[in-house]
Amino acid sequence: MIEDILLALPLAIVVLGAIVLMLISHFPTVSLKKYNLIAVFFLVCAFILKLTQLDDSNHIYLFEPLFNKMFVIDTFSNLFDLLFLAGAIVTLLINTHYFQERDYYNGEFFSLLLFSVFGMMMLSHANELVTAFISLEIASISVYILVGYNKNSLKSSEAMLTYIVLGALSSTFFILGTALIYGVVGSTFIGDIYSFIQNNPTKEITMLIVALMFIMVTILFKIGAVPFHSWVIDVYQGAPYPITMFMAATFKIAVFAIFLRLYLIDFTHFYDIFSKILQVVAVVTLIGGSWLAISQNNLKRMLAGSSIVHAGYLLIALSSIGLGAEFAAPAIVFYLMSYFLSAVGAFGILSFIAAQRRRRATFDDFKGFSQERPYLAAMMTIFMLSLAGFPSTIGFLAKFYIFLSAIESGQIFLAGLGITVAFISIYYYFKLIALMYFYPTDEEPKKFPFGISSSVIFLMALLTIWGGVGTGWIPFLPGVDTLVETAKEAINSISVKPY
Amino acid sequence: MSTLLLLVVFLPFLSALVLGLTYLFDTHKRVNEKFYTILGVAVPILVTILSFVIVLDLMSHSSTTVVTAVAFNWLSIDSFHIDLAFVADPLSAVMISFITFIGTLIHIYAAAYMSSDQGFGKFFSYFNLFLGSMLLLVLASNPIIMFIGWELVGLVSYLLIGFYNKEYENVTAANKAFIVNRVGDFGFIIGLGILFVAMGDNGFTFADIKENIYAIDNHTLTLVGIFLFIGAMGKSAQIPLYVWLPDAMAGPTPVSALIHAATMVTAGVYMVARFSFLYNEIPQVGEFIAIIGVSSALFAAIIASYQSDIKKILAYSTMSQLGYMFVAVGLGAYSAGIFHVFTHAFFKALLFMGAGAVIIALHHEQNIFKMGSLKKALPLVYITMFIATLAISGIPPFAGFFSKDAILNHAFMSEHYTIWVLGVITAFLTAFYMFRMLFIVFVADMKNNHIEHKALSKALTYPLIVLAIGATFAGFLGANEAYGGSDLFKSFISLNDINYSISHSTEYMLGFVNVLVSLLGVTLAYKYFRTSPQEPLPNKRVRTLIINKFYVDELYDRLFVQNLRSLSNFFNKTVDEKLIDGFINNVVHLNLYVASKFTSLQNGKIQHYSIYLLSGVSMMSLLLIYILEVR
Amino acid sequence: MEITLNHYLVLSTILFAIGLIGVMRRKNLLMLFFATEILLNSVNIGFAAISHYYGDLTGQMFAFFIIAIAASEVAVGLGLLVLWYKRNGSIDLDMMSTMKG
Repeated sequence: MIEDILLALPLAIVVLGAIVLMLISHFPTVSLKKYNLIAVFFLVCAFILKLTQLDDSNHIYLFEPLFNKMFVIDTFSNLFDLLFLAGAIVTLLINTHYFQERDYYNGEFFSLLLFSVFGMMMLSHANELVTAFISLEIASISVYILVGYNKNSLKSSEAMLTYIVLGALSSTFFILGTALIYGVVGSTFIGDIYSFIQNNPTKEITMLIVALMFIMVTILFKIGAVPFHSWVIDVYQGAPYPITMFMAATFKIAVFAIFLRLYLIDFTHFYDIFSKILQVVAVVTLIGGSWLAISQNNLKRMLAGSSIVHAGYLLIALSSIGLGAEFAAPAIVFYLMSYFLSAVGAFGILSFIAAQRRRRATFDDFKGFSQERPYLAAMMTIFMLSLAGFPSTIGFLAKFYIFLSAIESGQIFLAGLGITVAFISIYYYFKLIALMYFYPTDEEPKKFPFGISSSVIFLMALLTIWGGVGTGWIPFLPGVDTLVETAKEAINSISVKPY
Repeated sequence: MSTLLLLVVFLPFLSALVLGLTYLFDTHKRVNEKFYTILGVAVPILVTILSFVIVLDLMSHSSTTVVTAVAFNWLSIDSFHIDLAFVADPLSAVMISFITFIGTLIHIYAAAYMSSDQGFGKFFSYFNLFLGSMLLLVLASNPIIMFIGWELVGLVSYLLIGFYNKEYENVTAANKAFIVNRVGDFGFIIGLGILFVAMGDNGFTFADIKENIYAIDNHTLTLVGIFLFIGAMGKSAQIPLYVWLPDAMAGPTPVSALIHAATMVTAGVYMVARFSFLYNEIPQVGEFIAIIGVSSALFAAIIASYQSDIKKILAYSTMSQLGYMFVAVGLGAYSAGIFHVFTHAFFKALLFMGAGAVIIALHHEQNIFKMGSLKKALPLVYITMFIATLAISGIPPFAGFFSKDAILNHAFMSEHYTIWVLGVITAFLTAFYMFRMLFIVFVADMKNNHIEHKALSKALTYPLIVLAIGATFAGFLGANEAYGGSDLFKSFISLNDINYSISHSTEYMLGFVNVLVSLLGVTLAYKYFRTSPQEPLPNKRVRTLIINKFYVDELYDRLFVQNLRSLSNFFNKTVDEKLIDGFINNVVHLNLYVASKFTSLQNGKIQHYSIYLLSGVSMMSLLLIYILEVR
Repeated sequence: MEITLNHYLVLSTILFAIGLIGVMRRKNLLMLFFATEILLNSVNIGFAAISHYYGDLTGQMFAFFIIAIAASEVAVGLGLLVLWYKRNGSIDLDMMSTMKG
């Protein structure tokens, strides 16, 4: 019991932080900086606590007498918890500047962000479909509100509306699938579903497959795969920068937290079917995402489009799981981490600039940026290179592992398409680099603005490079292979099926 | 010991980094030259001391002991590891000791030579980087790390040849050196690749390769040996990849002394000696190497006899001496080859530094025919260079005699008489052209020597004395029994030499022949150039042919450069522009068109979006039905 | 005629289809939220019926949870709707498509 409480403590800290922030947001005297500080404080506490628990808890059910087997704690969920917490911390730190320049932020914003992190953490622990659904909705509804947080902006409200309507529509498929599974199996525990299929390989099998497909629809919607992508670009554009960053990097990881668990356990018997579906979705996502990305003029929309392409790469790896690529699942986790670093950095720079007086939104606004702000331009270049998968950045290794697993599982066509799409992506990423470096500007060169935001961005840039070259070169500093090893361990911790 | 070994390699890199960063961030030139000098010279001194400690340590043990040091695991794939590891066995210990020693002297010399140069800090950063790279190359415990050092020295050589990068010619020379070396390196890496595949899972350190060499069949080994030697050809300037070396003299003279005479160019010889166990398996390739070596030696000696640029003469003589070394290692006399590397380092560095002193004294004049009777003005330089010239010409008891003698004797004893004859002719030419240079520069009365002489600083001249001592006595280390020595050098580095027993009388006879031809060369040079220099060989055709270096540069230009250029033009204008670009442009336009159509679906209307979503669900369902039906 | 599980499931399916069509066709924002409500509640009927069929109470419990989720979703949606009405004086969907391309 005591152990359970300890294990649940990070979750509790986050939700407690959310409530505290909600309560004190009624005092008008508290400054935004303090809210930010409090939120970061709670998140860091939870992060540190979680870090100490990373390895020493393998497959424990949280409060089993009370919740039955609804919440599981294993390395996989712990790793994802760490990623969510890190994502939230980084988001808050990078946008310190941004918040202070906007008058519509208040304590509730931070409270909602923490609630959303709480939902994601629950999601990674969920071992039961209705729990997963509720966690997903806690995270999503918080994000809905955050997207429309700027009440004065028409775009922000419209983005929220788009997201909430389509999000609600898509979640119904998840719960519909859950209902069907409940009808067939009589239980919604992930393990029970697995053993049901194991024991009754023919009974009502089609119904189960359809149910799983419905669940997959929701997941594909949340990660923005074509043809469920239509919301992505508009919502990313309308949302405030911090939230775009949060959605692109952290929320997407959360969706994979539940999907990987489901896919590795419940889909096991239907890999031959779902791999085919995923292959088709991956192909249209890669192509469609590229088309969307190359035709954008607004930088935020371009990054949104490219995030669809990145979802496509992840789908390649997902379909490889079913075809026997041993390393595909850790590759997904590693890819998510790498995408997290680069995307947070890229959006971070955009929000950092947006916090200043002059707004930059389109590609053309970035002409000659390197002369005005050489260091930021250099870091932006690093992030773009990493997103494009350029060697010596972490993005390259991530893509490399994905293509490797695709080839290992015999999906040469998908690997080829992925590489082609990576070439196409150079078009829109390097367009920005070229504009930054090869055009003159009238602006005066500005000094490098030292501060929390810029240092965190700098750290991200360093990590991006470090992840691309470092393989334990410096003693005591974990290299990229440590990350990969951790990802492998995490996947192994769910692959053991103790049912 | 292994910590010391790590320090030996990493200290120069570290100081190169510090110097480089200081130079880079010191945009207002506030940092004094003193700083660069102290750091840039102190590190080589320290490294020299460390290397001597290592050598002494190795000497005190039996010949099979080695010092190893693992810096870190560089990459590991399953059970296969490549460590960044270093090994100091007698061979590499000898190499590092003279590399660091001569390197230190040249660093000191360079501090004076380069003083008040704009890029002083940059120069020392590169120089230290070179030292580190060379040590990395020599000490590497596996071919991969060796290749890294191999490439790094090539890079530094490129950087230093083009050190005065404001002048177009220097940049061209640097490019030439880099490109020609690339051709060689390509061979080298192919060789390594084949060897790697052949080795399989048996590890890839030199020790592993040595153990498992018998498991590899002879044809593969032949291929490996030839490709590795192509790498050596490029780095050590042998026919046909020598063309870069004379042009490399565009760099500052200390660079020529250190990199293009004493150390880097001998890397090829070292590599062959390092792979001696491999080359012993394939004597036919060894013969090929020896033939290339002796032809290079003769060819370079002929060209050197007609050069008028002091540094070019020395460059060709370097190539010629390298040819000797390849004769030795090709015929299995690895220790003789390395011994010649060792002695050559002393006298060639000395010659270059002396030439540099002359050049400095005459305000950057390099044409020997504009010098003359410098004997009185620069007595110290004259004496030291005289010693070096005696050494390179193979006059006993100077260093060059013993090493050259060992090589030629080996050629004779292994019954490669043609090679021996050519070697002896080269020895004659060597004495001739070296004394020709010496007489013209220092003794002959040229009538046009009213150029004012600049006083030379001590840092320029003292290293010359040290090297002169080395050039005089270094040979005794390897003197064999016939000359009263005990072959210390050979027994210390203990390579897998092919040995022939040789009687003392034959030994004396051969030595006598060598001395005789050398003296003949000296006499000839004396006759023609002692007083008023004029070229012998009245045949004008032959003369122009030789002065123009047999038109090899022009031939290469015709054969490779121009053909390549027209081919490139064809690809550029026709294939690339019309075919590939046209194709790509069309694809891009098509893509952009489709993309704009696809994006126009993105119209911001929520209800349209929900229809897309539901049609997506329907399509997925249809797909599912299809798949289930097929199943 | 006895009402079996199938009848409930058919009802649930019909309601789900109605909800889908509502989301696709309705231009009024309020009606759109109604439609999503119908979607979720149709699933609730399914849960309750299956729960009754198995004699297992968990399904009905799930229904409560889903009602709570649906309520919070609509609460957020209605908040937005009020904001929208204050600004534009209309809750027609066709006015809301400023972002495109």
